[in-house]
Amino acid sequence: MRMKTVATNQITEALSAPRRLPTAERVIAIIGLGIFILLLPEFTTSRHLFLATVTGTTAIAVYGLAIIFGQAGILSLAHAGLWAIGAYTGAIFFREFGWSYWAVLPLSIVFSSIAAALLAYPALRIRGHFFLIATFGFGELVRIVLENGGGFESGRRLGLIVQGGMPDFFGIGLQSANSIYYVTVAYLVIAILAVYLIRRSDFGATMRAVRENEDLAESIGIRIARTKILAFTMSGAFTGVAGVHYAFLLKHIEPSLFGAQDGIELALMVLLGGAVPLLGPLLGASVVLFVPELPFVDNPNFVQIAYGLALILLILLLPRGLVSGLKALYIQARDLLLRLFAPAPEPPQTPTSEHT
Amino acid sequence: MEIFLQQVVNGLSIGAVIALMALGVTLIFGLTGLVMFAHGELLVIGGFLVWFVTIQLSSSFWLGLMFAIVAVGLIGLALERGVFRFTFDSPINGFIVSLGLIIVLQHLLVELSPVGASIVDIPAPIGKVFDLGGARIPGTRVLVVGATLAVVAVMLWAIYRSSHGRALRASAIDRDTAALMGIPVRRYIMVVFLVGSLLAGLGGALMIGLFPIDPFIGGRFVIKAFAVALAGGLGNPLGAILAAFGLGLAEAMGTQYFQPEWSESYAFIVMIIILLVRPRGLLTGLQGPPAR
Repeated sequence: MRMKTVATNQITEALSAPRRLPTAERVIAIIGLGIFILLLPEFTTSRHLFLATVTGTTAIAVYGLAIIFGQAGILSLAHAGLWAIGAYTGAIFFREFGWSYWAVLPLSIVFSSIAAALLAYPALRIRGHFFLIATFGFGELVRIVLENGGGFESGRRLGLIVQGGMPDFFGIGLQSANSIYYVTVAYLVIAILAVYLIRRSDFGATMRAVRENEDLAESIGIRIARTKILAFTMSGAFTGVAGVHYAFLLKHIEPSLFGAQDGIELALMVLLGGAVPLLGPLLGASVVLFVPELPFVDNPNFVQIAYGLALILLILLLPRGLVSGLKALYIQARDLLLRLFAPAPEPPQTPTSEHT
Repeated sequence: MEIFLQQVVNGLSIGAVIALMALGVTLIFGLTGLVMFAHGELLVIGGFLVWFVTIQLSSSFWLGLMFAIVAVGLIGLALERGVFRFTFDSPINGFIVSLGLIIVLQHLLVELSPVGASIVDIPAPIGKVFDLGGARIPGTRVLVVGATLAVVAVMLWAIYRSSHGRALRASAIDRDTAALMGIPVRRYIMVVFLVGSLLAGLGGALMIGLFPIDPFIGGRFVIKAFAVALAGGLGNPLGAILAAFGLGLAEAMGTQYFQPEWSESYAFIVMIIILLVRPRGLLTGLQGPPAR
């Protein structure tokens, strides 16, 4: 029994060992991914293209979650609620007050950010599980409030219809599915760049200091409260953008899209892909949303079961997420190939080893 | 007055189901630091097993009750052995695993249930209706409250008065020191999972006596169980039970005298306020083993 545990730990260690790939290989991988994303509309069905657009939009919200989880080390189950605030702000102001897409976008960002900042207040006092449970409650409260609705909703649980709101993006008419897809990709690239810049900034380092040791960080003069609130505000901005885009994309939103269950799903995406690698959230969102579409699965129950099992196994074996796991697998496979095909007397020099 | 009395009984019977859940949840948290969200699915499985035995096999409710308690207990034990014991170093991973488990158990239930995802119900196990000062009190509700109070009394005695209970509480306060003192902490964790699941099985069996259930109802109850476990101080069994009956009463009164569509939100509001004002819970609770 003990043996087995040790073996599992070793596998976990080996697969999740964070090693950097050499720049050339990183660039090739990113270019390959970029080409795949850009050419996707050429070889996919319209149904899958729409799903890819939804995935991209969802991934923006997941990037928001990745900032607070990956950098500040705080996981939240309330991000579906923040997402809902963004979506409903956009939909209500568009439909009831005739604001344009571009006018509601900043407004939604502001509203979602404010809600996120409010959500940060409990995080100042409570940590770990307690905060997770509180965010769960917050997410579910948002759903209940939306379901009971104000005068804006056409009846309980009917949701809001957002018809024909997609504007022209700099002259590109958004009538075709392809152009909506490309705009979503552009949003996604901006989101990833933003995460990258936040990580590289001084504030990123501050957040990581808080994540690693809050007391130590405080002792060297980092203001914990301000850091956490700011981190949540940034995170909320992502969900605001994702919300507006989601509402205009789906054309029909309802409270059941944003319940606690969906908050869990967002958390799963970020954990699945990994919160620290830049592409983690995108991969996590893609896996979660595309697995049910695999051709060999015909029973939706089995999809869900397999998906739950995969999640459990991933957490137990690959706690750093899929991206790190794939990277480690790739490195091992490459090293193996190098050893097989270059049987030099000395072990071949791999520039990656032990270099951080 | 009759309506008030009826609502009191309704509230107590809902509170009883929540209390049985909360007891398991709070015990598991106290010992392992695990936030076991899949506990609600165990409750639902218990209810479905009773339905299966009572309706599908046309056997008696009491047989179904026994079967559900034992089966759910064994499922819980299997989950601890097969899954959760690998997560005790990192309770947050255990929490996420339990979220994955919710998905697995829910859809497994839908797949295995002869009626798929539809609602199931059984006739009231006790047909007798008591008359209490004009209020009509269904016998089933009396059974639910009575059985729960009896089980809870035994549990509280075991936790606070027996030597095993003392060892359990010692392990919850400091796992490592307790282990050094010769307490088999790992075995206590197993026992707590087993007992917590037995209670969930009982809760589920009683629940289907009260109202029809569907495979997706578990989440709602686990949230309430956590809300009351928090209100009572996580890891504090007595606090959790008192809070559970309090929440049940508040919901019943809210449904009757305020706006029923908001009664679902009480648990969350109470929970968030308590977390903000007294992060460790209303009564003294345990922090649980340190996260990560």
